[in-house]
Amino acid sequence: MKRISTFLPSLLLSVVLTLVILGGSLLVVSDINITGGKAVEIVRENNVGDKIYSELEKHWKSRYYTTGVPAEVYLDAVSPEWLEELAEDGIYQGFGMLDGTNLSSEISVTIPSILNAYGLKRNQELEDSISGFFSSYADENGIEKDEAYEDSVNRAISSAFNVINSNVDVYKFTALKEHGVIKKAAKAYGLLFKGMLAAGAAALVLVLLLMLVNRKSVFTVLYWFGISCIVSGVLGAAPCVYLLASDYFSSFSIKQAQIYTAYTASMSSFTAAFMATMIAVTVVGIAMVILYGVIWSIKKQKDKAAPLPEEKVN
Amino acid sequence: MSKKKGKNYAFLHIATPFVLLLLCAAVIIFVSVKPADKLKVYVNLAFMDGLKTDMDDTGLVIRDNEIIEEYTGETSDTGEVIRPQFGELFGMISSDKLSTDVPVYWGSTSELLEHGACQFFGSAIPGTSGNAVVSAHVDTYFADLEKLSEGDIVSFKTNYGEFTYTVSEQISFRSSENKYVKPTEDDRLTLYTCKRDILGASDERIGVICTLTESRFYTTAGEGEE
Repeated sequence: MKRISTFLPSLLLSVVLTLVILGGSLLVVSDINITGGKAVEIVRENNVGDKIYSELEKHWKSRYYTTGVPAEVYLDAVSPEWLEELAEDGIYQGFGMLDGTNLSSEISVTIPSILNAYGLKRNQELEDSISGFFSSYADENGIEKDEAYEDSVNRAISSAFNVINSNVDVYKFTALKEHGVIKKAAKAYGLLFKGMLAAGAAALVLVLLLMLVNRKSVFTVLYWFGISCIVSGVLGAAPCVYLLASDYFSSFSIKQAQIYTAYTASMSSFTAAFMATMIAVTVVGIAMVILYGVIWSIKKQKDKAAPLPEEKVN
Repeated sequence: MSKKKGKNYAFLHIATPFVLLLLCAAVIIFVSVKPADKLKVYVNLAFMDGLKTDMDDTGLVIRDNEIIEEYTGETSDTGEVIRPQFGELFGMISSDKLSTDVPVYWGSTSELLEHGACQFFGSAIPGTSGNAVVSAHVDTYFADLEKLSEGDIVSFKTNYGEFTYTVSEQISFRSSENKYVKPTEDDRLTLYTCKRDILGASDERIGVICTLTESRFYTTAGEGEE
């Protein structure tokens, strides 16, 4: 009965400890990996600028038949490097909204003035290219350059930036912001660090409680803490192994190549980082259980040599 | 006797991690059902947004206006509404029970439904008397509609005022029935979506009827924060 009185509380505490270790590890990995810097690193590694350029090329070429504006008018004025720079800036702005450093809570490169407002490099070349095309067209066709003409030029420039805006926002921060998701995610994002501290404190309290429950053989805590680490490691690493081994993220059907790349690469990177962490946690757990086994056999040997009142395991 | 006890200890030591694994797996599965569902909605919302302001091949022009989030100026119980054009984003529905704020477009087409909720253009625009009927897809904007229950507060913000409703009734009807989308004498907001059906499109519609409890028309221009 005494064994049950220590076993059951220890088991229950271990369940909570396992979940705390799992949750704490997730928070640590999230805090390290879900950052603007990391996202930008992924964008650079995967040449997202080239992908954005290809998407824009496809878009403007397909629009030629309805707008009459050749794709080159736009494409000659934008470069993959500039597009990547915009994407990176959008990422920093997006993460700024999450961590509260970007109080403007707006991501947009829709119109040139907004580009200036955020200190982005204004693409005068693109504006000149579009204006130049319209001007030549008007001259060739004897169209008066009146207010309506100016409106058309401005609309075309605005539309071009709008298309670029939609394509450079590789993590879809604008869409998430529009639907109020960023506001909610920011709350959770702000709690990451506090969550980590809370998880650490909770783990410490649980270990102390385990020591209290197993006070007659304190070294048993090594076993309970060890198996908690092993179980949380297995629970965390197993889905990651499946996701990575089955190349799960590659099966996503996101039409825009740059968004597909940014999301799938980020998810794979996060999964790999989490898996590595959980494997490390498992190894720590195994080491603890082995240490417990060693101490237990030494103790058993001693007990055999000098018989004591029956040992209470657990 | 001692050997048997030793075997029991060994078995206990080996079996315990498996018991722990099962218990923890059960807890994780139980607690992750809801977040996984929410994540699915967010992913759907993010990836359904394309080049919103583009004119599509059908000639529909979708206008995404900024809706005033916080209005700090004076308000009045009565006022003038700003009637939107077909395909124009003119309002934002929010409630504590809804995971996301829902953009509302004037008019209803399959393309508009990919951008947000749609208000049937034959229904009463908030701020005027009658039945304002709004629908959206169940896998995106109205994923949480079934969570609304009697007494919940629903806010409908527009650029001319904010209208607060209280859920008064949960409804369910066949798509061919039109009793809930008809004009009414009272001022109400009817929200509906398809009932979830794993086999495909459902013929059944579910939703809520909300009764108008407060109208605040904006009286000072330029006092809002978008």
